[in-house]
Amino acid sequence: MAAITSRLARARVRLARRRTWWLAGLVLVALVYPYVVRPYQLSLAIEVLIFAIFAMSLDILLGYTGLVSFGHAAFFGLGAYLVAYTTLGVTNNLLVTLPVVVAGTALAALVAGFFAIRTSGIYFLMVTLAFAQMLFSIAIRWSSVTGGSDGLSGVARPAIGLGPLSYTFDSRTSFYYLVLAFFIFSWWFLRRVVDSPFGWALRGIRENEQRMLALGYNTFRYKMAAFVIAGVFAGVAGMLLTQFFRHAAPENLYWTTSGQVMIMLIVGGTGTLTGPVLGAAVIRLLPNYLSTYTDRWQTVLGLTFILFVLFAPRGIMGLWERFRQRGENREHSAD
Amino acid sequence: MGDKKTVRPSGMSRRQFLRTAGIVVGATAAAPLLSACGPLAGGRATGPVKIGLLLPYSDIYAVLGESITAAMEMYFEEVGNEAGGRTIELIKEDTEIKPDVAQQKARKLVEQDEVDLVAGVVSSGVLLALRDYFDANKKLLICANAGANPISRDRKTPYIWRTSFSNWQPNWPVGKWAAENVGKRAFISVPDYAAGENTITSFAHSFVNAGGEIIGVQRTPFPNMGDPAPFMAEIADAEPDLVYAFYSGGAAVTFVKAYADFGLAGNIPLLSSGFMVEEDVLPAQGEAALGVRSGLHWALLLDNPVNQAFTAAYKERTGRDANVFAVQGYDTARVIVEMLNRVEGDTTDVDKMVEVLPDIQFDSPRGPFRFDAKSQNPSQHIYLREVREVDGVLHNVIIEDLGEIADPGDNSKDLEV
Repeated sequence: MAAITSRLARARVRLARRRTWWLAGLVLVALVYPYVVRPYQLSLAIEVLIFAIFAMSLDILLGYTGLVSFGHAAFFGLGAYLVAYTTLGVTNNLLVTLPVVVAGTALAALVAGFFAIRTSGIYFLMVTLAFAQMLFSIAIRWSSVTGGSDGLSGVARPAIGLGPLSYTFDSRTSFYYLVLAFFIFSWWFLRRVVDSPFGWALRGIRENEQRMLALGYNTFRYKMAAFVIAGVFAGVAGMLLTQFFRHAAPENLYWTTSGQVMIMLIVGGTGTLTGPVLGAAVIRLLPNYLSTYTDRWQTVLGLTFILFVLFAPRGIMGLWERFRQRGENREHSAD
Repeated sequence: MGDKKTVRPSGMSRRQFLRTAGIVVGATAAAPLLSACGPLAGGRATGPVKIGLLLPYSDIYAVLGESITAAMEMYFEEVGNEAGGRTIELIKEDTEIKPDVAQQKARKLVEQDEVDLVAGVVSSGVLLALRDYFDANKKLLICANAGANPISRDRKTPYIWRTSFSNWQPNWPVGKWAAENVGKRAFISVPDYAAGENTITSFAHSFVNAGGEIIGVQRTPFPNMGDPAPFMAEIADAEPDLVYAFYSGGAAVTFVKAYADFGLAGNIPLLSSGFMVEEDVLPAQGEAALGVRSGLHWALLLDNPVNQAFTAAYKERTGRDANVFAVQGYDTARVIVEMLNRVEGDTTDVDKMVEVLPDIQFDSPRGPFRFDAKSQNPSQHIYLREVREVDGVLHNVIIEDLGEIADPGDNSKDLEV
């Protein structure tokens, strides 16, 4: 028994060490990436990383807490408009714009969450959808502030610095590194969140909220915190996309954006954090290649989605897991 | 016993194998990217001229994208698919009407396909979203539709030229004409978004300056107006001398039909921007549209030889009547060909291409075509048209030429209401 335990511990250490190497390798690839690809591939990578942050943030709600939000675009778009408005009116300094985006989206998430979290299931979905659509119609109607259907254009790339020491992320490569830094931080932070006792409490709420209540957890507060964390990271993703495109559009707030990020989650695999990243890559890159070959690319995308839902409900991560399991089982029987 | 599954001494090797395999597959997939590595694409001087088309081929504006494409291809074929000694190659990309999709497609065209120039763009929101990209990358974009005023004004860039119109253009001359010929008290009805607002300010400016008075403005929900009854009631209550409106697509059909159903047609004259009663919506509006007067830079029955040849050829090619978007596509193709001829096919220097644009002049289906260098937008005749029945079919008949109009290049001829 002791032998088994120590072997198990050693295997776990080896596994952890291997995972560290694996991650270090990925980071290294990401660091040299701009120097080995063409600018267009770099643009795509920037977009994928931004949407990966957005998708990971929804995973906190949908995957870990079991709250199916269909209005996550609200925070994404809010981040976009906040940074556009601040950049056009005040400054492009990240030391100002980032706190504005974080505070603004956190506040909006508090208000929206206060009402939404009292409901559950389909009602939660409807309330979040309504909240996002409300912001969308404000963006369309209040044209003196939001630019109406044209959106806000001419948003400068971000800068960072104090006084004379300042750096602008003007070139695509430098902006890529900025986005990469945000992505790595988001991944690390959200990973910490879901692996913490707080994260396990969220899983508990997803599995059986009544039981968590009976155990003495104030589930409302837990859900509220998850809602705010998810909102803030979605806002940061919206901020980055606006700085990349130099434009905030009302489409960022539209329900199709909420739908798109949900599809990313389902294709990648919910409740895994890594799945949404893969889903973001697939959903952003696939249309890009398909549309060159066929006008019916939306049909192909739709079919792909249906196939996933039918045959791989746990997404790419689920497929990978099943693949690995099968390999191990086969070896096991060979023993 | 139950622990057996987790111990698995040989399990790692399989995992390792899979990872190695994964790396190999990944590297193979990445190889073409590595080999294709190079600097940001510029124009070239030899081989075919690659022209990227950014147009909506799906969603509600698909008809516009298809009309523009068909007319462009028609013109290129007329000149033997060749300009400046190089053959012409078109690469089409679907922008839908989403600014972020359009940005991605623009990058693909410019950076991956290395096109020499880009043409198209139907929606104003998309054009404004693309503006900074083309400006920063010094890439030429010939806009074939989107009328956002700022692109001719405070958001102007040397690298975006428009062959279509600014939203201000078809409305402003109608204001003066309406005050002089129809009545002095006008009511305005538009959808509540940017193009609607442009319609109000440009019409109001010339209408008020000609002695008219705006007695009411209604902004209806966009994109779907919903039940038109309350809006019709508001118009009837205001008892204006005339109504000026701007709607397009499905909303144009709803509005014009409701206007007739509520008994306003025939009592209060309805004037509009030409897009409200263009050839694409007229059949659906039917007799309700009779008598609507509108301003636009073209009409199907415009009497000039180029237009007659164009409309006949277009109908033969597509089986449908031409529309104003097709005319803009046709002229876009012609501008591109004329430009390439003038620079002798050398697209390496974008500034040289931009330099020759103001000199380009020709006879278009809409009449004489030339650029106004200040607004980088056509200086063109606006025609006042009226919907009448011609040989049993409804058409816009030209009743007056309101003269050649260029965008002022700033907001001096707009009036906030």
